[in-house]
Amino acid sequence: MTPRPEYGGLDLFCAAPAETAVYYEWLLGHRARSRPGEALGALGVRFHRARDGGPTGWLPALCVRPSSVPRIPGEYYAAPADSDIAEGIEQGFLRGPDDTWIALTDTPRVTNAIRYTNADISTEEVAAVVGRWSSALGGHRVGMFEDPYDMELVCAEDRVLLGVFRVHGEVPGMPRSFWIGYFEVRDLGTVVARAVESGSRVLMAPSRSPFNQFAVLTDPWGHVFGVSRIFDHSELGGITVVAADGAHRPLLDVLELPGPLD
Amino acid sequence: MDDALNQLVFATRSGGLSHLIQAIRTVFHADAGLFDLSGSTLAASPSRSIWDADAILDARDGDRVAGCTVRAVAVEGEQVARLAVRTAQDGAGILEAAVDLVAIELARLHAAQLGWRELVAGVIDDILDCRVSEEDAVARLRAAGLDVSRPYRMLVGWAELPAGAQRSLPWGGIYALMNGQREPFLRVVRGDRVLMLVLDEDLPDRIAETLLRQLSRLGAGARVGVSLPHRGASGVRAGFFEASSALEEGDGVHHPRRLDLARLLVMTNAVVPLGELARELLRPLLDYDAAHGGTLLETFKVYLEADRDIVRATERLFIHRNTLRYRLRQIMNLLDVDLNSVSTTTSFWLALQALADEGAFDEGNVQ
Repeated sequence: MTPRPEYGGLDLFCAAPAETAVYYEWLLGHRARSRPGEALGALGVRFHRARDGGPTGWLPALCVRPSSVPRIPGEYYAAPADSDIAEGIEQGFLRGPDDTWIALTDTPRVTNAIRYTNADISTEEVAAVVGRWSSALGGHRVGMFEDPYDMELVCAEDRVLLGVFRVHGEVPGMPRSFWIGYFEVRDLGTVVARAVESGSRVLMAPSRSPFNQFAVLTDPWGHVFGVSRIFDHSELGGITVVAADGAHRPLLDVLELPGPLD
Repeated sequence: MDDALNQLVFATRSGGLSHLIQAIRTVFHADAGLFDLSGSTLAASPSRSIWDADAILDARDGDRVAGCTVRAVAVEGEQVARLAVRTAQDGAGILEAAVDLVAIELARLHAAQLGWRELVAGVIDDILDCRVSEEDAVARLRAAGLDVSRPYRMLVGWAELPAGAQRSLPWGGIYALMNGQREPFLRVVRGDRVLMLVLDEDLPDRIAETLLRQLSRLGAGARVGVSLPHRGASGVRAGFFEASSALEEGDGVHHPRRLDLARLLVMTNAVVPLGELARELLRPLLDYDAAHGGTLLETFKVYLEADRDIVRATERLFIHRNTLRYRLRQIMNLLDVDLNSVSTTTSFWLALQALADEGAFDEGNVQ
């Protein structure tokens, strides 16, 4: 149990967890271990079988004190103890705007999980979503200064929990808000090319944000995910953010961010 | 119009496709996206935008769908991508010019891709046609990005495609090319077939399913054969044979039904001079056929291929069963063997496979 909320990793709820885990471990270049999902599990990533009425797709796991989570009926769901869903999710789930979910864990899965993965929610209602998750997790908001996508971060002290940004456009059948679970990679171009040759589809082509180079894809089963290569701290130094007190400050003065993978 | 056009040209020259799409957005004051034929976004502005790619792919050139004007982008007459702009305005012909610039940039990238693929195709052709030593072939494959000391599989794909349509296959590798990197998997076009070499650790069945979907979008009867795993350059020949044989099973993805050890040995052998030994073993038949214009060698091969079934062999040879029996007696006498012996027929079957591998039974080359 941690004294403050902490980003804990990513969870995928899907129809075929083992098959999907094999795919992601191959795509991201992790050598397979004794069972599917074990290699990514060491980085705070879990694969679960989806249940009717429960979450589907990638969602972030947050490590929070159980007593700090408001257990409001309709918004809080305890993790079922009788299935593999419970593995790695000791508490349960919170439901947010537009039927988006986050998973809650009691204990950190891995040290500094945000070095390996992170999560953004894409939405048309940035302010409402930031407000909901800040309130539920006991965090505060940090805004990117003059960002074209109204990018906001939900943070706990100097640590990022979640990102929120406004998406342009809409696709029939696609939810108005959806999580993008990002995996940090060393060679983004190669991972995207391998993904396309193996049945994934590129939703957002490789691009640069103030933080990173990124691309967003759907995997062969239709789950939205992203790959990212965060910039070195020397490149992040010039970014200005709007801190919780409304002051404009350099990003690295406000937040502790990991560097790129070696 | 000139200013807008200059803006587009400058963007293309300075930053390629992604800058060009950004410039299209600026010129039209509207979101713009470029998609390959599998619906993947090649570039979009703004970058954090989502698109109804299926509707864009289904649209005809010039259609308005999902709030976008959709234009087909063609390279050398083949559609290769779709440009979508969230506007109803043509911009006094600027959109036409933008489509042309996208096509030119895609053609430039595609030319680099084709050049690379032709280089790899040359290596594979040399291996399939036995024009290169094992050592040289391994080195050339390694230079092409495939380490054949690790197990790999050959994928062979086919569909009823018009000539040149393979150009329209979605270019997964284009993302790598846009970054100045190589394609992640070796893919070449040989005749009417698409060949891929994929390491066994790289989920070849999933790659095969993707190739099948790509081919299915372009033509009817799409199918992909997947070879058994092989190592070494000689495995390319065996893999090609296995994958091509599996292709004959019909639509879908298929694997070889069973391992053909004799064929595998012949195709991958780099140690024993099998062809030479085969000609020595079959010398009496070769000499007889040469002297009398006979067909004993072919008769022998067809008889063994028919599992020594007289009726099936005669049907395939278009001869009377008494004629076949007469020829078989000639063969046994000339070779001085008993064709009921398993070890004898096994040796001769291997010898016939070795000659077949050298093209001895190809049309116009029998004898």
